[in-house]
Amino acid sequence: MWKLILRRFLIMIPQLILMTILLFALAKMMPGDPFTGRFSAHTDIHTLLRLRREAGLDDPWPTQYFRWINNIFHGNLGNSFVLQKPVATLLGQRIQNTVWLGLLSLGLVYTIGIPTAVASATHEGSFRDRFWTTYNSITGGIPAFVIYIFMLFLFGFTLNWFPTTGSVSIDANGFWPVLGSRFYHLILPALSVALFSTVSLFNTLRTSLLDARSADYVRTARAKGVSNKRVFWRHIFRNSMLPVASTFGFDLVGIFSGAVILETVFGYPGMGRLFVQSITTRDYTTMNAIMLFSGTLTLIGSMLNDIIMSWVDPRIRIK
Amino acid sequence: MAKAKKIEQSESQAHAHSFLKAAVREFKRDKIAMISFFFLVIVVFGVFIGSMFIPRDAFSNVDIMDTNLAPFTNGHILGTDDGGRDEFLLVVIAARNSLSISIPVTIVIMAVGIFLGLMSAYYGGFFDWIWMRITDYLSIVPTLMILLTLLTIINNYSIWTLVWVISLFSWIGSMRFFRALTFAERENDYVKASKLSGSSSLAIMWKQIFPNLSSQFYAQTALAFAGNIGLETGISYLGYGLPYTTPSLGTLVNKATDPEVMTQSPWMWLPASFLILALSVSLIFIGQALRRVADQRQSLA
Amino acid sequence: MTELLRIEDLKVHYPIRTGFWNRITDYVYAVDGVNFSINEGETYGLVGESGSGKTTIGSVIVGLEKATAGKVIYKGQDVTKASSRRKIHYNRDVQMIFQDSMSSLNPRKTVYQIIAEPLHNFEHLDNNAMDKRIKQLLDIVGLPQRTLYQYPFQFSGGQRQRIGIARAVATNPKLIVADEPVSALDLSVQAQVLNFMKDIQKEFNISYLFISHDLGVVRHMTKNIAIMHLGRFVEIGTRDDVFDDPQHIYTKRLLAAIPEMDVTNREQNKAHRLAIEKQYQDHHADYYDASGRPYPMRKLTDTHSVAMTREEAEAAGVASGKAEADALAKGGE
Repeated sequence: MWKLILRRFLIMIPQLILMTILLFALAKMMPGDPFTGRFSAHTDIHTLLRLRREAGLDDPWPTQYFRWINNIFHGNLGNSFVLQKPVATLLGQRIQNTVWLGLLSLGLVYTIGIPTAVASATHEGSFRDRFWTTYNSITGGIPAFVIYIFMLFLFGFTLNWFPTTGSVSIDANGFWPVLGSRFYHLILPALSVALFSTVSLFNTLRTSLLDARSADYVRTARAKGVSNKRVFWRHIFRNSMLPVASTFGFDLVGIFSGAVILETVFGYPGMGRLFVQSITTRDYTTMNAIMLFSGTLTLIGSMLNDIIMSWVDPRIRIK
Repeated sequence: MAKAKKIEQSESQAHAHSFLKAAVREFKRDKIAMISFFFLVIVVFGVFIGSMFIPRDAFSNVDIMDTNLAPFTNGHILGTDDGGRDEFLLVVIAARNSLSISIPVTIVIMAVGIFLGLMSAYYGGFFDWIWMRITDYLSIVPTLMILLTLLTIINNYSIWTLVWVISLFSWIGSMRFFRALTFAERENDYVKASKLSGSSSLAIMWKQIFPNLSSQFYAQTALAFAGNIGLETGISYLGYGLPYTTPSLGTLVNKATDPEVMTQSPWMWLPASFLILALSVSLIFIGQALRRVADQRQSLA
Repeated sequence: MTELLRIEDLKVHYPIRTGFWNRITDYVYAVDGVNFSINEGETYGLVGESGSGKTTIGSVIVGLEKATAGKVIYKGQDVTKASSRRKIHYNRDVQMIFQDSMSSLNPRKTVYQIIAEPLHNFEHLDNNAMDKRIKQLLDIVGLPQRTLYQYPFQFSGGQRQRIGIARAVATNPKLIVADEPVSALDLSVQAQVLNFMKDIQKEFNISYLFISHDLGVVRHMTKNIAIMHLGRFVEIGTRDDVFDDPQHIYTKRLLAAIPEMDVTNREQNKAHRLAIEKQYQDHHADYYDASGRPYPMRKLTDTHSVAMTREEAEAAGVASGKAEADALAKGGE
């Protein structure tokens, strides 16, 4: 097992290197540099050039690349020239917000997805089954941002049930009121994600439930006289959750890849919104840091995925 | 030789004909898919033909008297926007622009997907390995963010630039889909038999294996089309698609980011949003009906 | 009787990759040093359990699989390499009949298209000649003309196998590798297809390499038989050699396992089976080497060779010095 983890980890290293090269190339393709925004037309061109040289922007690309990597390892992601703050500090708060939103969404996806898949699979072909299958294929295919806007319009503005922007109310003071207010702000975006993102969980679980139902070990259990309920929960459900568990890594990553649009619509101050804001202001340092962060996270997620998969499914381990 | 080709043609027509027959039967049974199909046809043709009749200067002269009109006033069916432009005409133009991107993107990614998927699975070995590593790599980079970054770097682009940039990451899904299908198909002895009958690899891929995937190909095209409409309008919604002068459906929905517009003048963003939804949903229904046809034919075989 | 195809010391090994770096740590010896030859117009039987490597030999002969070592010689020409096969349009002469008729016919192609494929690639006929030839082939395999534009799923298993045979004989081949051609068919249809294969053999002077695990079918079809076990031949001989005078323990076990219809000798048969089984347990080392694989072949008579140790061969009482040396030279290993 540890061998497999080590091997999977080693595979990650070249992937990570390739990604940093890609991001570095993107950064170099972006017009302007950190000093472009800092000086007005009056600034002496020689001062500018000196500053550039001192910042190492005239060095050959490989030198710059390795300096950038070195800085990252020391936790230095550069400074945002627009917001005049180190990017690392800027990201910290935003990432927290995104993580909370993501975890709540993921939790809701599982609470909605699992029971509906079970209901569907246990009544295959019934109205219930057709309803949930159709529901999932539609919600899984329509563009998310339109849904988010409808949800915001309906529950935020029209019915006034939930706040329409931000992550916490300014009036909230003290630990519990702030926590409550944060949670209150999370509900609508999280629910919007959950209601319309169950498709992959639903399909995976439903298919594996249906497959397991006709498997030999289930028939054997039945033949031994095990009660239906016990057969379902002990044999069918347990085994069917394995493929679901194995996609957990990617689900986790999905939180961050969906954040751009979700946070923009709900005006939620997370990492995705920060990214869109920094594109608008051409804040390249921040953009790059966010891409690096979510890319690394995806890598870790897919590694986690493979490890969980081989952990729950011995066939892969043996191979 | 020419005659032989003709026979082959008429036979492939016979095959296409039988798919068409099966599809028609399925659509007759599934009324929702049927309605979706006609809706899609009407919208696509209506939008492309209709937009030819909209004069170029329809939006250039801003009418201050007619700004922010509610629907059904002064002959504006869907009202006007803050610049006094007729919303209905805007939606038609925007839909045309959106489709002008999502249709080519669909064609590009389906072509690339079937081509690479077939080759990768058929040849296997190193060729397959290299392409799988490439797709693995592309599927772990933060796609949407890189797309947006690329679009800010290339600041002067045409519809075609947008098509290529969006296609850059979207072919992965369709390639993997066809690769998996080809892998399953390749195991059949008819592939070996074809080899022994002296057919070249290319002939085996396109003349023997591809006809067995064609039903899946049509279904997948419909679903990919729905996905691409979502992708294009999403990028435009964020403000990085077509320039403001060539509005996309996403650009119109973007007006809803202003709470004032969202609550007070819903006619400025609702029609576009509904059209996006209706297009995607109908494509999903069509795709599912086609997939059922494909599966039946698969099980028949 | 002229030799059509000769296999010399054929080996097919598949690498097994394991460990941290996915290095090749071992091989599967699917076929491990096999020699035999097929004469013109005769049927050569290849018998063995599943996994014994008999299908791999067939695949190498038609060119679907690459040999790791050894040679395939067709009419005196070395055709081991794909390039040399292409040069002489090898597959025009050497065709194959598959076990699974469903999977071997493309479900999206009509009978016409299926049979036309090899003709189109090898014969370059004009349209009329093509039509005529395809109709003629349908006649040969006994299918009505109206089925020309039907799809494979519209036929029964036996009929589909006939379409497969029509495709195989379309280019007038000299050798057809038949890989378990009837094991997927009903018993009643099996005999029909087998007899029909015999008929076209006589008519067109075709050689068969008949691969099967069914000894009854092999006895009915073949003149020479090779028994295969664990990637090697254990016994080669004429039909009479193998069926009436089996020498290798594996052959004996196979023969003993054939169900007897006659119940009068039930006890006797059972005793015979048990005796063979006991012999297998006690004398395993006489037939299989330390690594559990069969020994190289030794010649008993001109037609009959068996894989066993020198002592056993001597005990069997034949093995003239020359035949012995011949067998060793040929047997390789």
